[in-house]
Amino acid sequence: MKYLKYGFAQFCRSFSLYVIMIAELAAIMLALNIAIGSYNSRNMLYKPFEQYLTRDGWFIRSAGIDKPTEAENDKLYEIIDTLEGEYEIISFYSSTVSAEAGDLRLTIVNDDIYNLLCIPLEEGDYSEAVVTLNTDFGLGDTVRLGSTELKISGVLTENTYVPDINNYNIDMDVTKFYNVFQSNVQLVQLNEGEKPTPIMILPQSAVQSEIDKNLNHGIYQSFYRLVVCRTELTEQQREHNADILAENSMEIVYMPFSKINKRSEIYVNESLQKVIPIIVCVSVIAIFGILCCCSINVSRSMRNNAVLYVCGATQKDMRIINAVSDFLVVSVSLVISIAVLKIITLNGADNSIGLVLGNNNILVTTVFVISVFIITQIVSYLVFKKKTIRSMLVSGGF
Amino acid sequence: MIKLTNIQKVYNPRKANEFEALKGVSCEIEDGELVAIIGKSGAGKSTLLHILACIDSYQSGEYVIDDITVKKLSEKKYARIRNEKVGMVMQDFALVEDFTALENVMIPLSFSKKKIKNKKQKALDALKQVGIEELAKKPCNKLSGGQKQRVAIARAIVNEPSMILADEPTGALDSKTGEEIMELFKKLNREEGRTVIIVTHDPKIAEQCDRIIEISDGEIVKNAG
Ligand SMILES: Nc1ncnc2c1ncn2[C@@H]1O[C@H](COP(=O)(O)OP(=O)(O)OP(=O)(O)O)[C@@H](O)[C@H]1O
Ligand SMILES: [Mg+2]
Repeated sequence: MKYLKYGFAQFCRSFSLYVIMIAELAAIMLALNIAIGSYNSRNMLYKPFEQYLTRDGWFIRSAGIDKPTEAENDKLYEIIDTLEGEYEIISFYSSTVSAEAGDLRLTIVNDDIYNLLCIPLEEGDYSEAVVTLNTDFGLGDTVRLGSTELKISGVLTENTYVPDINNYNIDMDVTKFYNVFQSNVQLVQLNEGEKPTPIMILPQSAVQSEIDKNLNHGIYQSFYRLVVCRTELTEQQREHNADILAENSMEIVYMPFSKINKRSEIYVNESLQKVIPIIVCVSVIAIFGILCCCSINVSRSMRNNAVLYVCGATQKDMRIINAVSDFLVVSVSLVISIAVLKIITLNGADNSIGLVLGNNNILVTTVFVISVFIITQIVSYLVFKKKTIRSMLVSGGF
Repeated sequence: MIKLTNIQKVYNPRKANEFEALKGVSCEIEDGELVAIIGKSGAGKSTLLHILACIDSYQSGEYVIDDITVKKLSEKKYARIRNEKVGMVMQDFALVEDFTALENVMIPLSFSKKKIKNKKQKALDALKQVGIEELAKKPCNKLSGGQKQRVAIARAIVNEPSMILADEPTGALDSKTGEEIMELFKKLNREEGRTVIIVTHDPKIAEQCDRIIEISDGEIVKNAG
């Protein structure tokens, strides 16, 4: 109780000095969290595909601009059969269902990907199926695909990503496996007042029986396939496979996972690589500032603490009181940065500027807060160490 | 009772600026005495007082207060002696300036290890004793020098110590106010039987004490009633 009382008194007394420190700390924490948030927003796109992209395999389709014919697909599989290794072939499916509320486009992704999706939700969870934000379909609503009932368990935020493996790009990275979706804008030119059709994302296992029944009759397969090698390949086998694909380049369009993965990793780490030097610089300056503020503050409170000592406080009491006051500084900065982040997220601005705040934000912030606190304690310790109570009593307090 | 035997104090031992401030000081002060310590500037008066107040340590000799030998005690025991046995009054008052008079007087109570029931009342009583009850709520930086010194005295006596140590308590005050403060010390000594030890430059103050101890160059050169 007395520690809180005297610590708080010291905090109030030095508040003007602390303001600089609080501002610096809050700014760093904010920058740190925004950096992590932007890293998260990129990493979340990579995560579901990482399991494939880090293996041998290809992003592949039959050549030709239009929807591949049966024959073309057969040819594709034939080529894959001649490759060394065992392969899993993954495709997405799509369909459109009509409900009372209107049309709903379905994006059916395989379960391994669905289970790793962590694109932020406005509400609900990923347990069954998620829809893009719109007014027509909401949490708990159901639609039917054939004889299967699909329930909406989660709603994505405005400005979100929908998995789609039909985009091919010469600079293929993981972002090309998604479309950006906004409830009022769409790549396709809309007529006045028209809204884009909402999209539901659901796991393949939920509708496997319908796919088996209705493929090409209401349910369509993506043109592209992810061909994932499930066995380990030798360098020779890899070369052999590369040769086979090259020989068939008239029939197929393909890109090896290794290429996509490399670009994806660059994409994911780019955000950090850009901000880390800035954050390091700012942190160094700020930590220098914190050291100064902290040592000035310790010196300024020295006389008052010595007064407490004369009245029966121990050196330990003095240190605790100092620590309480430093702790308050760090806490206030933390509260300010959390408040700013909260304001950002409440307005949904985090999505529009591509921030995803997750557990690692909490972790890094906590580590930061603790290290700053430890630094302040080391500074106090060093300043105190050399001083006798007598010299503290005559030191200029205020 | 206080007993000092051959106390030696060296500042910055074994360094270039080593300085022997007390060169074997011995004396006894009985309970209830009113003692003045005088001497030239730099003689070692404050040094002695700080040792008595357990604020500073000493190299050799022995200091016994109420049968406790003050040497190599734990942090906590030192703090407890400061808290319970001595009340310290300084020339520059040593108040927490932005605290109110009452808050300042409460400090020793906050750090007391004893169970004290009504701390606030106790602090108010101490302020009443020094005659500034009505200033309890006033921040100390709004008080005059004399009033500040009264707050400091109230703080020194609030835990009912057996010994009050004052380092030039009237040094920063005009002579009339100094006189009033001295009256207060005399009252505490006569009426409550507390031991009062006052370091002073002022012969008029020293004259009013039972005994005068004169220090010169770290040694007691005169010790007489
Ligand atoms: N921390 C220190 N380091 C070195 N020497 C010191 C230190 N503190 C005090 N001294 C020296 O010890 C001597 C005694 O100091 P002290 O403060 O006890 O004197 P004093 O009698 O109280 O003088 P004054 O009347 O000026 O207050 C002085 O010569 C002083 O310079
Ligand atoms: Mg002195």
